[in-house]
Amino acid sequence: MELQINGQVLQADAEPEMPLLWVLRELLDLTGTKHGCGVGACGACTVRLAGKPVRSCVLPVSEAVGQQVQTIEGLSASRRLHPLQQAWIDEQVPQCGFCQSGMLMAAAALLERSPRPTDAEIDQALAHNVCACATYVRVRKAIHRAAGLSP
Amino acid sequence: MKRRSWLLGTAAAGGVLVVGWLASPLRTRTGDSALMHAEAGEVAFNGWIKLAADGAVVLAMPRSEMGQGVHTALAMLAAEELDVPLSYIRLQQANSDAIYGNVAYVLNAVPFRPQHMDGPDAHGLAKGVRWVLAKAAREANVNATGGSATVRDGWLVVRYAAAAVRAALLAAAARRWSVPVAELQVTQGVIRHPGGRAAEYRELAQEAVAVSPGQIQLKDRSHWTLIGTSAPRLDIPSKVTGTARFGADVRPPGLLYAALRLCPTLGGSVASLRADAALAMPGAQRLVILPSWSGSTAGFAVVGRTWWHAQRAAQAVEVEWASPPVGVPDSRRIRSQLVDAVRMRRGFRFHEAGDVDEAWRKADRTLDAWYSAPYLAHPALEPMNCTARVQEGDVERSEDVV
Repeated sequence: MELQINGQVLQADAEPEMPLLWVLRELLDLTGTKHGCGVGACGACTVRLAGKPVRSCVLPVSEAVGQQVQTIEGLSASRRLHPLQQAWIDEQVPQCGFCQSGMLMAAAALLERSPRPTDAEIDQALAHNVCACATYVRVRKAIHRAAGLSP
Repeated sequence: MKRRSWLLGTAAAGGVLVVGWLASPLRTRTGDSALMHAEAGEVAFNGWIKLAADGAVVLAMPRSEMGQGVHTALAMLAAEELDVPLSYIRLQQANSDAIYGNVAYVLNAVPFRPQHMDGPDAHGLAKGVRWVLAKAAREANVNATGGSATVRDGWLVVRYAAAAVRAALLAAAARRWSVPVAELQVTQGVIRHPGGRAAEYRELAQEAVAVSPGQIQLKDRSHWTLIGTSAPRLDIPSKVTGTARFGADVRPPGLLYAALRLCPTLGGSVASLRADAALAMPGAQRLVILPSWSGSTAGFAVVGRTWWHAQRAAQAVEVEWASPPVGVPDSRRIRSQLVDAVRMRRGFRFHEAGDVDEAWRKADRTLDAWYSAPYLAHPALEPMNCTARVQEGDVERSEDVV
């Protein structure tokens, strides 16, 4: 089947019900998107589908056909870092790093919808992105920084 | 270097720490340069460090980075002693060898109480056991990351390995220019002589491995520029671009995946199963029975093209589980045993400081509380995994060196 991922058209030999996560990781070798819980509860597998954050571990790949999929590998279109990625480095956000791809994709969707989000908006948008290292406070700071506000 | 008695003292001149050894714990852990697998253009000095053609200092990394910052911390130790910027350090997954064992981790595990170890009344037995254990641990190659032991373990070992490289490079420069080592200075990986000559480490690397480094001196803390600072973590950039390689991200050729199903009750096993339909599913390849091993819970695994295929097929296997033998612990039983133990038995004093009874009497207010925590393993978000390739007895291991 034909998929549009990070601005490219890619072919994948997948069953229609195969979750997008596994198509990305195993068939297309895009391993930046992570498998955390596998039941859509932790957010580690978050990618953007037509701009909106979705849980790729429970999204059948057939539902992604014909729509733009963006993964962490495509967060920045150029060779330069996305402002969120730079802010993430400046604030030294990740610890183990396993949830961070999902966090960044959810944060990117938030900033597009709300360029200057409040703490409450950030908390709401990322409420279902679990970080077992508990980086939440720095995630919030980094989003403010990326939004051009003082952290 | 001559074998001398263990000595760790500050030399008055130059403010340096002179370290010498008998059966030297540090020298025995500096290791052979063959462990670094130097490729064309690279020069390996010992089991921890090689210099690359582009000027990078490649450091063997035997510990796992889990966000605790140890890759950066050990890199800082090497950069400090070598007088190079932290950005010069590149990490390489360490080989398997006893020099990389985590001796401090093993010592942490000894069940002595603080009172046994510290203070004027410390037990000779505890000290003796730790000494013997440290010697044994150096031979045993117990390579673990945990217990806040990485820096404690690497603190002298990595610095010594780096200081030995620096000393060899200085000796090579002194020989090349026919000047005393004492007249040389190092800044940012460049050796300079006041007479005007200068050379980068990489220019001297080939000569340096051939010379004796002489006395290895660790920097005195008053000369530290990196240790003690808050350096940006080396692993972070790759973790924000999705390029960091976690255990499940490696793709050795021909890789298949196994999904497990274990008996839901501790100590239980498979009574019977039917897997024909499951194994006929796309992407499913074979079923492997996992018998009880030394009392472990039994079950089975399905191997498939991807983990999703394997997992889907494993779920489709029809299985009857056999009841575990009577007396197997369950959550309720474990809890009641623990509660009984606290209530009924007399414990031991773990640590004591000051006069507790006196403090208790004088307190305006006392609190009496009961705390309980569930019996949980580390609930990491990343599923526990490790990728290893076993071929004709050789094991190639991939871990999260990022």
